[in-house]
Amino acid sequence: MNQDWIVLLQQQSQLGKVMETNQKTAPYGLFLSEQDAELLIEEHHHALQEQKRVEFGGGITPKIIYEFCDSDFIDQNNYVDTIIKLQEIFYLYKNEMQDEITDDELLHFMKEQFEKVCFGDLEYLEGTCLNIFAQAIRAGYRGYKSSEGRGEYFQFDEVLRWDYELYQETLRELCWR
Amino acid sequence: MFENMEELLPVTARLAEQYTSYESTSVTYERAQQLMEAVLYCIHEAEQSGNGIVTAEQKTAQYLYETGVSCVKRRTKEALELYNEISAEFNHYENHCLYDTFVEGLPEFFKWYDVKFCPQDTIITLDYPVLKDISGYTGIDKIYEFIRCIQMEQGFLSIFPEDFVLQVLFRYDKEYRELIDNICEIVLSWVAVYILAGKPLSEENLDGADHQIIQEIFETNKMEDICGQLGLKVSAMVEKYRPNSRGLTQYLLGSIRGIAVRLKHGVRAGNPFGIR
Repeated sequence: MNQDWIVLLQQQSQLGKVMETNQKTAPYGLFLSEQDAELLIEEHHHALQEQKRVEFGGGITPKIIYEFCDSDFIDQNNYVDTIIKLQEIFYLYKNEMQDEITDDELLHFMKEQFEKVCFGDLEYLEGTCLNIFAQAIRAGYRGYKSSEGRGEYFQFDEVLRWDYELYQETLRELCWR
Repeated sequence: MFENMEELLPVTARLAEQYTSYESTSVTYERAQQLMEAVLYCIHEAEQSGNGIVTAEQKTAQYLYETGVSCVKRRTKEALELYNEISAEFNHYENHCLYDTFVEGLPEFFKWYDVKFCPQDTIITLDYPVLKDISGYTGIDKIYEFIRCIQMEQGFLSIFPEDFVLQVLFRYDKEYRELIDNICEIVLSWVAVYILAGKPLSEENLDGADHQIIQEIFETNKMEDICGQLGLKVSAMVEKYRPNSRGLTQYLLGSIRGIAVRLKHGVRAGNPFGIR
């Protein structure tokens, strides 16, 4: 069957919905010009094509913006670039997780790791956190369904984030020196 | 069929939303393709059933799609009812392929068939070869046609005592249990030989003189005439023993020419029954 219809489906304009997000992001000092919004939509289409996915309905860009707009690691300078990269990562991992995870669960997971584990490092989010979580999902893990993707990563984290003994030792040294 | 694909996009998009339970805004190309095919299949069903003939106002892709979904559901129910009706007295005549396809395979189809998101998928392979070409059908249409074929075959085979059918199959091929051939056609071929020889089926063996008679028939008559004669006799038999079998005569006549051609060559080789 001719796949032209897939192209047609992807051409639905989301400019209005993306521009609408400015109302909510303004308190966080984030603003998209019309050019920014067009760039986001263009990159969004690239990401969809790259991952061979078709989008319908409202689109994921506004959802990503609403989820990440209160981040400590996003400001006006890196706002557009970060959202573009987050779109790419989102679709990549929708595929990697074989569509087992809903949009909201994935976004919650991404946001939480972006803030608490990656501290704004998108490469670490993509290459480590999501990679490990995707492996767990492909292996059959479904615990995120009850948690909506929140508080999941610590089970799979391969790095010891907080060494309690080292903390005690350092504290002793500092206090009793 | 809709020329303009744009009209189908909102229908497919709505179906995709339902597929993801409104929890995902995107699907893979493969899934989108599957859902578009589901929409097209249902619209085709609506058009085929005659329910697609509607007023201009109603003739929207969404209306036709919803009508088609109802058609597919109704067809599935009819197929299941027909299957259950046949199953009560179904006889596979010890043929494994027929048994596996009808008794093992078809219930799996009804178990897994997805009317809403993948109605175009036939799911099972229907290994048992029926006499009608159903390769152009997919989904529930193919299954329904297959079950109808089996119903007609069972109707024809039940004209004869079970022992007779088993004996014919055994004489045709000692490994008849493993055959992936149509058993109805084997029995019909056997009957055709007796018809041409002018002998009753109760006679266990035909001798050289009978073979000579059949050979002369093929030498002195055109193939069309022989097929016509065989067709008339088979029709009369069906009319006599299975007068209410809708479409059975037509179903059997579809294979008469093939049987006649094989008989012609078989007689020449001294093996009219095509015994293996």
